[in-house]
Amino acid sequence: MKILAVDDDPDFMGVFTTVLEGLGYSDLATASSGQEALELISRSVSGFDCIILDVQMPGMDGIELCRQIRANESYKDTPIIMNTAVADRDYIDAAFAAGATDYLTKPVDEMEVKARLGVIEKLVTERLRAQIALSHPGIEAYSGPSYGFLDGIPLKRVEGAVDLFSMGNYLKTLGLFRALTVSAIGIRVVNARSIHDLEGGHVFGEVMIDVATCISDCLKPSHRMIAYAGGGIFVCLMPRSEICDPEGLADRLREYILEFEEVYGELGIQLPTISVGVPITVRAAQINSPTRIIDEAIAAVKARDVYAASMA
Amino acid sequence: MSAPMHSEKLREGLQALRDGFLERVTARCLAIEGILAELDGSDEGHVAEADREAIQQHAHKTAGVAATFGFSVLGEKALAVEQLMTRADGTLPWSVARPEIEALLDEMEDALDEFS
Repeated sequence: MKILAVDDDPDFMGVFTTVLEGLGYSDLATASSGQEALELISRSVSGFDCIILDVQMPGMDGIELCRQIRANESYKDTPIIMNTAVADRDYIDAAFAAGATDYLTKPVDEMEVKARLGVIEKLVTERLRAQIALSHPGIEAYSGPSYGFLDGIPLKRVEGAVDLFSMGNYLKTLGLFRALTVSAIGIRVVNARSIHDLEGGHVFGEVMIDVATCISDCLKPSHRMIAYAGGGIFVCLMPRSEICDPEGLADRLREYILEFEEVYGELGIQLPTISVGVPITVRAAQINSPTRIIDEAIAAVKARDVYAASMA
Repeated sequence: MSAPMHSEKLREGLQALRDGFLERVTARCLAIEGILAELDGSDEGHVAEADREAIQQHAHKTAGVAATFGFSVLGEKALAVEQLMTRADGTLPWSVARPEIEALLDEMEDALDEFS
């Protein structure tokens, strides 16, 4: 795995590269500023598999650098990890909004680095395998990606979208009190299976991106984080103070989705039918596992559909 | 902030980096003392923006690695100063800031004495 590490502090960089090399990550490039990092990225022929950024740097800070790297088409899916000191926690929201995948804490903890990079390395390997599969001669040159029903679908064109892994990492960064201020809500495309089976994996992926765009448009721009969980289910994070009425949100979403009615009708694609689950908040007893609200939001919207079906 | 546990290989690598860290701690110590010296012993007024930013940066860099080099208390004091400076707006009185900064300077000097 080829890593680019960016930090303006020579002491931290010395420690960090020593740790990485000790863990076997020897294919390592370093930069001491945002500008130097962007130059290294533009000059690199084979690209970097993982980028690790300091948050606080003079000139271009890590958040702006993350945003600029993400704007480069070749790095839309590359894992970007933020190196954060305790005092940087206020920047975490901005870092995830700028496209960060995960975070590491300062001072360096060798075991933490090993665990986090181990997960990232698996992600990189999976993505490489997927790219190889797509570039196989058996697949048409201009066909888009085809998704299985339960596969993840990248929502890169959608404002506020992150992958489920990043959403979980974001919740873990919040700490005791801020985690209590967040709620998760599950949104399900009830006829997702039917759309997938009738239209195939490529069209299904496009329909899910359309639904994600509608969700993004429905939620307040500054407070939305949307992830796709597979199987036609989305999870959104929002401030607890803005917990919405699920039916009200479902009605608004249906209005947005109706705008696609004509186009979908011409293409013979059925319009997605939406169901919204009850909002889930972190309870004090589960503060050590805040990511559970993601699973519970998914379970809540599934349970809602089962209940609705049994009432019908 | 406790000192992290390190493998033998990492310990050897850190040993080689520690002199550089202590050199930079010396420079930061002198820079912060210079800022305090300009006040001429007076704690009247508020910390100016340029001073606040400079002290915050010195503290931030020290807090990020001190514990890794075995200076856990130095890391804690640096973090306390960094947080104070980060959260401060333009109304942080020197009378509040100075004791925290002096405690950090004392800890920096202790670390330097230990390895001089």
